[in-house]
Amino acid sequence: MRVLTAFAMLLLAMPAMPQNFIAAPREFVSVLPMGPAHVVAGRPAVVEVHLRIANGMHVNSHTPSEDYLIPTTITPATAAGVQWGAVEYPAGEMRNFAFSATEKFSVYTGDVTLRLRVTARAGEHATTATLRYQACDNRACYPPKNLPVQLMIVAK
Amino acid sequence: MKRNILVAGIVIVALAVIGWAGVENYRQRQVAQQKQQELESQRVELVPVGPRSTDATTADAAKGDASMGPEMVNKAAPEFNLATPDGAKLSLTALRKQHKALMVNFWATWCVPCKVEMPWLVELEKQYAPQGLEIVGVSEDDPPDAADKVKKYTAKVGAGYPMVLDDGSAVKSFDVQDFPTSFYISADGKVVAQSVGLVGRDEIEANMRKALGGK
Repeated sequence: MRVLTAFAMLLLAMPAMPQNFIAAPREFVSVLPMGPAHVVAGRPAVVEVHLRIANGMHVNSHTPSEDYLIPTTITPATAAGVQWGAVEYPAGEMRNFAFSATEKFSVYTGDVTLRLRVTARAGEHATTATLRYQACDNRACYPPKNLPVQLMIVAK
Repeated sequence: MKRNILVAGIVIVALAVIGWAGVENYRQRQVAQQKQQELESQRVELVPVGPRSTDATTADAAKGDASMGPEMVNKAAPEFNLATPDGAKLSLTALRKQHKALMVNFWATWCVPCKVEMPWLVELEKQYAPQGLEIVGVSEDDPPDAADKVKKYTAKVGAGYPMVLDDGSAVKSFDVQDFPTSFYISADGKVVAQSVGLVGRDEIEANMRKALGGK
């Protein structure tokens, strides 16, 4: 009987009203989930980072067509036992937009893969990289963003 | 026995309330997701001459648009006091004392749509300055080279109207998320119209006239 009463009180103490739905902040680029990168210790390898650019959005490629545009970059953090090499960026897609009918820009849209060259010492290395991008759609642009990317490298 | 029945009743009521809360929560999430999807689909289809401009008559209709931020129309324009590219200080109050109406234009050198409208602003500023209108550009370029970038670009397009470099305070107080965004301020210091994203030249001109007291 006491147990039943306590259960009833517990249920009544729980929030009965629905929580207000809070819209998620607008994210223009997301990093697709990735498991640990398995590499051979001491040998050059490649870690791939897969990006998804939101529908209707574009970001400048790594080599934008104008010098005033902010390129997409990924910068791995320094980590003990991990030696980063050059990053391979895909070529941009030359496109024009509603705001630039005559001028084409080198951009990324949809899914994009960045390839990070790495040489790691034997062991597990949890590290990060910073993705920097600047997104626009057909009518407006949005301030540059820095997105942290979690990386796990398992070298054997 | 009666006590057991009472407790059982309380438990049933509690379960019913929790069940209702769960259903209601799910329903609200569905509605919110649907709204979000609608907004996203609008984003894809929007074009420069789209109806992104808001004035006092359409402000209520735009309140549900998440990309607009809190509506500024009919409210007093927030004050700012920011550095110019030459290192001087310029405030909204000072500009208001000198001019009948203002257009506050948030832009950046990395923003291509902003650059599309800038030549229009140069022309319109010349056209409406005699009537008391002034434009002030608020640049969102990041330091340390923001001043150089702004000077270089404004010289290239011949933008002679005042520029200030935002330190993050103006974009916050005006709640600007999209670039370009412009606010049209009348003689009484109130925002009479606001446009988010690239809109047509005619729309910019109409908003300038509104700020000057026309219709």
